[in-house]
Amino acid sequence: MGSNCQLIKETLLEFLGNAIDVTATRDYCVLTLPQKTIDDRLASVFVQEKIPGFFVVDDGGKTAAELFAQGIHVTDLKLAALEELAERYGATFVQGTFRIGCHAEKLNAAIVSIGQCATLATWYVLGHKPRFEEEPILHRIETGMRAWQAPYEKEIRPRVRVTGQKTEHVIDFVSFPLNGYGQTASHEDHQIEQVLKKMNPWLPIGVKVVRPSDNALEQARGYGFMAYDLVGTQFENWPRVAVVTRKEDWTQPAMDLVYKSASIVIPIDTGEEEKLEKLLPERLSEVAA
Amino acid sequence: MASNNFFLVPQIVADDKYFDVSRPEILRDLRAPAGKFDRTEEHETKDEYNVDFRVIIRLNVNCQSKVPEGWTIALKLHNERIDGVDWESEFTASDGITVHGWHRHQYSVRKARSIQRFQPQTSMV
Repeated sequence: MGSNCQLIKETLLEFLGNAIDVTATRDYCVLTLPQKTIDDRLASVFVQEKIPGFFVVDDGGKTAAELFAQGIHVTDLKLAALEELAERYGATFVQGTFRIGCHAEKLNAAIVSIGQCATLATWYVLGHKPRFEEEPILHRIETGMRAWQAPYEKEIRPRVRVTGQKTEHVIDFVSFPLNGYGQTASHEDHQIEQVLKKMNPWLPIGVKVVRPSDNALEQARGYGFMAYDLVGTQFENWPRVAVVTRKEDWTQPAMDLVYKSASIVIPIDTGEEEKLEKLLPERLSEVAA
Repeated sequence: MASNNFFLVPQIVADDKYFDVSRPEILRDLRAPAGKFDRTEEHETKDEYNVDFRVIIRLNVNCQSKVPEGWTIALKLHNERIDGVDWESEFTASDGITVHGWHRHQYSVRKARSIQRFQPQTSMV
């Protein structure tokens, strides 16, 4: 029996020896371990000798990058779990990378530990499901804007580029006033229009979709940055309408930021997108009033 | 409720897709500490019977790792990767050959998973 156990060990050692592959890439070695991750990859461990006798062992950020590529967002809760997992194996999880720094005598243990972290962290793949709820809404916005009875003749243009102080931004749709009351208006109407323009000129109204994506606050900041970046430009005073999709996925601070950055916010619940075609003209009239 | 549009994957992958973003903007996001780019767009396509469809697609790039082998790019539909490129030290391609390096992942409509790995193209090696 004892000899059988020894034989099993020897066979396993031979198997592991054959299954472990090593490649030299630039200034580090990449070890391919036989452990398979849950998303069906072989775990890769990157080893770099930083100074003689001291090594940095990590997963090359592959685990977090693969989770992201497969639609798994590392939330604060998941981040805490990944940090905890790393700690259990004597590693750290910082900036999306499992890592251990060690001396030569602990190198093998570090390689195995990082391999385990890289394997176990992919268990989030098991709970991942496609998301079918979100519906395209740009065509609904366009329909709503065209249906809007503006107090002036208008032209709706999609994807309008505006240049801010720092960068360029794209507004999904802009309603541009044409010739005020339009060509069919009487001379008197035009005179009235000129007076009105001096008092309260018609300005183009920009409508932009703000989707929560994985991180609503980040998206809100992006929208807020656009508003901030347009200050001091000719686009600063254009009324901004933010159509916020997947309302249920927004946190209050994120939503508050959008409210502060837009003239009017239209939050839309998932499954309620069709209401936009009716809602948008009403809200545009409020903006233009 | 939006419908399952995975049957459109082959067409979406084959289509020219437009993302309203410039390369400098992508680079700006990738050079930030988070090292990630995330953009969602609506895309118009047609099914095999020439019926129009609108879908929401998402482009994700992750260059957070200091090691280029840890970078990924993915095109997603319904928050599922339908196309993309990443690096693996060793993998079995869809034709059964064991290869390594940069390669493409594509969604398998039949298996309902992003699992088909293709041999690295010369330009990717």
